[in-house]
Parts: sequence; structure tokens; C-alpha cells
Amino acid sequence: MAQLKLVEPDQKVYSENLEKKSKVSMSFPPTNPERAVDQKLVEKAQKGDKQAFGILVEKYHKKLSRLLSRMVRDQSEIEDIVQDTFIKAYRAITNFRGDSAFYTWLYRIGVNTAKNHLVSLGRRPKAMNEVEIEEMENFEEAHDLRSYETPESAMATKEIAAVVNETIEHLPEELRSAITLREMDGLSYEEIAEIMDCPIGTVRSRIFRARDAIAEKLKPLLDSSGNKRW
Amino acid sequence: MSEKISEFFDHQTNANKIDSLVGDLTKNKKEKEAFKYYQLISDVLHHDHGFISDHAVDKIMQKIDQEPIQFNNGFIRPAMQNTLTFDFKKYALYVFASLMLVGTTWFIATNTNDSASSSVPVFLAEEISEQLLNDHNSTTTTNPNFFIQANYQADI
Repeated sequence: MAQLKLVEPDQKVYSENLEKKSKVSMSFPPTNPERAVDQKLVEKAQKGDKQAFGILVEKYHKKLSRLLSRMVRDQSEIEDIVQDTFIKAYRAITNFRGDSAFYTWLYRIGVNTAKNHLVSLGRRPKAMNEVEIEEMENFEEAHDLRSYETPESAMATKEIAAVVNETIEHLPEELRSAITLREMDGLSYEEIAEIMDCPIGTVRSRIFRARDAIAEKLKPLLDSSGNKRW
Repeated sequence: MSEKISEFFDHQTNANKIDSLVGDLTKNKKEKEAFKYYQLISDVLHHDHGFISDHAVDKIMQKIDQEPIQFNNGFIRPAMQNTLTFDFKKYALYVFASLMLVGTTWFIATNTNDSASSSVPVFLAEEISEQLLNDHNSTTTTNPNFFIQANYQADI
């Protein structure tokens, strides 16, 4: 499996502004916008909107798979557990009151489902305390799920990753920097605007154009190779 | 529009616009597809690309679609697929019962008219013989309704 080559932002242009940004980053509101969006989706799902729940599935199934791969090694078993987890979450969605983030709630269901799965197979589940679960939730270092992939899915993964990276490399510099600062550095639009010294609207547009360009390159690949996730 | 979805994907949307955007996203297929592409790109850039070629989301959503819809107030509606089947059966049964009712009514009405027309003779005025009229008039006095209709007060 070829390693993905991540595109780095143009450090020469933006490094100075990046340092400046670190000094002002504390001024941003403490509210978690991701949690607010998830809460809206949950509320819609609670009102019977399955499409809203579908967006949550789209958003978290990979993260959940990655989390569970630390407990279960077999890919097909992980898939089954992930599926069961989402079904359980859907059945219990009306009980979710938003005391914790949706993904925290979901991950706990996932961990319990995985434990029950292992017990049913006569295997001893790895004991995990709250801290360990939290560590897993925040687990950013990629756990190599690729080693459990089938040859076909590994090939498709490689192709998709290559197209994404190649397209980013060939993007105009301002688009490449915008998408990289957002996706790789996780900066907000305000922070990126400050670093790139441009209005927020320009940042929004650049990120969108970068994504649109990559999506256009991916479409033929996904339509032709049977990798339709949708 | 997709620019707004891109912004929404990054959780940079104003809180007061989230509601309408979530609505658009769940209803508009094009926007939903855009969101999925953005998620895929993000997954690749974050090395979250295990299972990329699998139909994991589709499989999960197929299962979810079979689940009944639960509401906050405790109301549970059967899954759409089941509801459609149930409605169709109910509708077909209703149509069949209606047709049967109409058919039966028509059959009875037709037969009743036939038997009535065959048992009760209908005459034109000129076809009624004088003897038949005399016989009829001679028996009308035995009919109490005749006296009522004629405003006759019996001297009892």
C-alpha cells in the first residue's frame, strides 16, 4: 500500500501569519460548532428524519470503525459491529438528551457493542476505563485499518487517495493553502483569513473551489470502479 | 449552494442558519452528494480511508430504513416499506369490497325488477276491460284506506 503524500501549505508565505494566529486564537468563541451541528441533526432524527441520521452515519462511521479496530481485528466483524452500533443508536436516539456530544454517546454504544460481540464469541474483551475510552475518542494518530482491507478495497483506496493528493498538488496555490490549512491544520475560516490576509468570504470560496475541483476528479473514478458509497 | 454546504461541513455556519442548511442537506440530493464527497476528501486527508471501497453507509442506511420511525413523544410509525405494503393491501381490499358491493347491488336490483315485471301485469288504459274495472270498484269499499282517502267518516 502506497503511503499517502500529504500536501503541505506554503510555509514561506504563511508561516509568519501562522505565528501571529497562535497569539489571537484564544479570542475565538468557546462554543463547539461541530456539536451544535450534530445536535441539530440529532433533533431532526428525533423528529423522524432518517436522512438527518444518515448524515451522522456518513460523518462518523469511519471514525467509529477506526476506534473499534483497536478492539476487534477482523474487518468484517468491525463492519457488523459498526452497523449494529448505528442501529442501536437509531433505536435509542429519542433518549439522547445532548448531555454529551453525539459522537461520545455513539462511541460508547460502539465500545459496548464490541465488548458484547467479543463475549458472545467467547473472547475476552479488553477492559477499558473511562480515560481509555476518551483516549480512543480523541485518537488522531491513524490506526492502520488498511492492513485489514481486501485487495479490491485496498486498490480502490489507493486510487482515490492518489487522485485527491494529485489534484491538491495541481491546485492554484491560494486554493491549495486554504484547503490544507482547513483540513490538515484544522483552522477556522477566521484564522485562515488572518493567515492568508484576505476576507472570510474569500476563504470560504477558496475552500469550496478546492473541494469542488477534487470532487470533480473523483466522480469518474467513483462512478466507474463500483466504489459507489452512495 | 454547495459553498454553503462546504461551510457547513467545516462547522463554520452561523448558528441561526444551521437549521435551514440541515433541512436543505437532508432534502436536496445534490447537496447531500456534495457533502459526501467533502467527507470522503476529508477522510482521505486524515488517513481515515479504511473501507473506502465498501458500501458501509449504504448497508447501514438500508438497515435503518427497515427500522420503524420513533418520535420524541413516544409515537412509533412503521418503516416506510412496511407502511406502503400495508396501505396497498388495505387499498386493494377496499377496492375489491367496493366492486363486490356494487356488483351485488346491481345483480339484486336487476333480478328484482325482472321478477316484479313478470309477476305484476301492466296495462294501458284502453287495454283494461270493463269487467276488470267493475270488479276492482266493487272491492274498494272493503278497503279501509279508500274511506280515509275519500274523507268518509264512518258512523260507528
